[in-house]
Amino acid sequence: MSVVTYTLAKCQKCMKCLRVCPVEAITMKDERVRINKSRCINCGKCIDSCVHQGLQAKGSTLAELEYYDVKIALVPSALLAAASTVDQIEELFGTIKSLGFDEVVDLSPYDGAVANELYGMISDQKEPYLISSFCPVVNRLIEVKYPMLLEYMVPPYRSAELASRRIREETVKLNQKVGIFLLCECIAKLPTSKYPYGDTSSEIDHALSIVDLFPRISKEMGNHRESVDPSPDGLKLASSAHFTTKGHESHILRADGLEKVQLALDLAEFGQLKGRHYLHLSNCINGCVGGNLLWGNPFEATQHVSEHLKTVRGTNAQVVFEASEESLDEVNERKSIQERILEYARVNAQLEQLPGYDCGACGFASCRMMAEEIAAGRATLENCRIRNHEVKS
Amino acid sequence: MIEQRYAIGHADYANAGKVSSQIKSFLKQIGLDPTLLRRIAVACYEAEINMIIHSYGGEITLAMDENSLDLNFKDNGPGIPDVEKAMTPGWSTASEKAREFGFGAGMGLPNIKRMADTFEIQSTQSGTHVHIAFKVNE
Repeated sequence: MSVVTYTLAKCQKCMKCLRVCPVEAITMKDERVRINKSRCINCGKCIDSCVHQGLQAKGSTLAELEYYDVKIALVPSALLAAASTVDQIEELFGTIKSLGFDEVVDLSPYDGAVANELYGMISDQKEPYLISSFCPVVNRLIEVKYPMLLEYMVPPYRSAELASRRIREETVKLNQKVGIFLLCECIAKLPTSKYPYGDTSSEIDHALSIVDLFPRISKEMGNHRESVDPSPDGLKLASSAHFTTKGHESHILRADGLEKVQLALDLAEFGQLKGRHYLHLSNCINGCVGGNLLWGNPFEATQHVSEHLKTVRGTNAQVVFEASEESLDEVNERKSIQERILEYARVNAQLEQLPGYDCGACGFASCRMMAEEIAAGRATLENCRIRNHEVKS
Repeated sequence: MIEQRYAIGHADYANAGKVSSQIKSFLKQIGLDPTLLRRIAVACYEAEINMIIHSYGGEITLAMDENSLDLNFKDNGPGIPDVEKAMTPGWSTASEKAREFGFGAGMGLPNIKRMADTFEIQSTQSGTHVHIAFKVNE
């Protein structure tokens, strides 16, 4: 489910967003951008491409705090990498608490538990390979563009869900309204409180964008402190440069950034990643520590993790991993193969009439998409500006 | 029935895998069963790379209807001297240059055979023809 919102008044109709979208989820129709909410993978490329702030991703706001008696913040491991020292991590946690929370929960022990579970799976794995599932963008990308790799994906264990389930169990007796707020280091985690990946329900009440909290955090920083004992394994899960397990270093392939991820997945489909047992893939540069809603830069974050790992000794949470009953969405393409072949032929007949520039001027991201629309009767050849120009001249 | 043809150049390493990528994306658009798609993709890639490494170039053709998908890899020589040997896992004649590029592990033909429902190979000095087919039932 897409969290990208569009503001018509700010849109200059430059169509940059339409061209950068890796899954062709954006079209321009009736002079406005339309986002296919079910196709969007929340990678944030369109938001980055828009210089007019016409596209944004928003989470809940702190105003929601007032509806709860007990307010709990979940802090992702990635945010620990925004602090340069462990001392600063404690200041950061204190500051977050001062924004109106009763408790601030460090997710790194839960991420550490997930990392440990992965280490075990990697050690047992023989070819072909397992594909990580911690990055919601990569998960959706595989669903949309690489369906043949779905069967290799690790079950979607999410530390935030594990932690919030435990909090719910522990607080149910209080007979109070307990609000669980997840701080999100990336756009793609904003919708997971309402639409968790591979799971039907979530115990998380609200997802907050870290970047929105930053002005208040930076103002209060230095005045508060809260003791934290981060797990080194949790930090490693969030930083792709650090994720490894002894004896299996060369079996792990790490790819970060959408281009690199797509290259790895393309090769994986051809069975060309020989000797790799596990693919650690993230949309954000350098892993979650480079989250696109964090204020620092990914290179500094990686360096901070290296520093933290010298001193942090926190233990991992004790968690029982159960396979989720809900498997990944079934591909609900139920036309017969014969119909699909005919449809392809119809689209191809239209495609041959189009110039193949994929310029996007018609409002569709590619000539193929335009051909599909024409074949479906929703557009006509006259909508192609290049073709009109050639016919006239 | 859909038919497509693709030319393969001799020792065209720079474009290695491009035809397989096009075929793969075509099959995704059709929406084939993912497991079947993967078998086709792996076999097609191996066969394309074989043509680039070993042959003087040639042509890949694809034909598909609701029952089956046929892929033909026809090259212009020099032919495989001993087809039986070439079908043995680990046996390879790939040049030093090809191996430097990571090609030539000697698993190409056996792997293609393993992936496909039908596998046929004919080879003379004037060319090799590999025909593979997959059942496309739902």
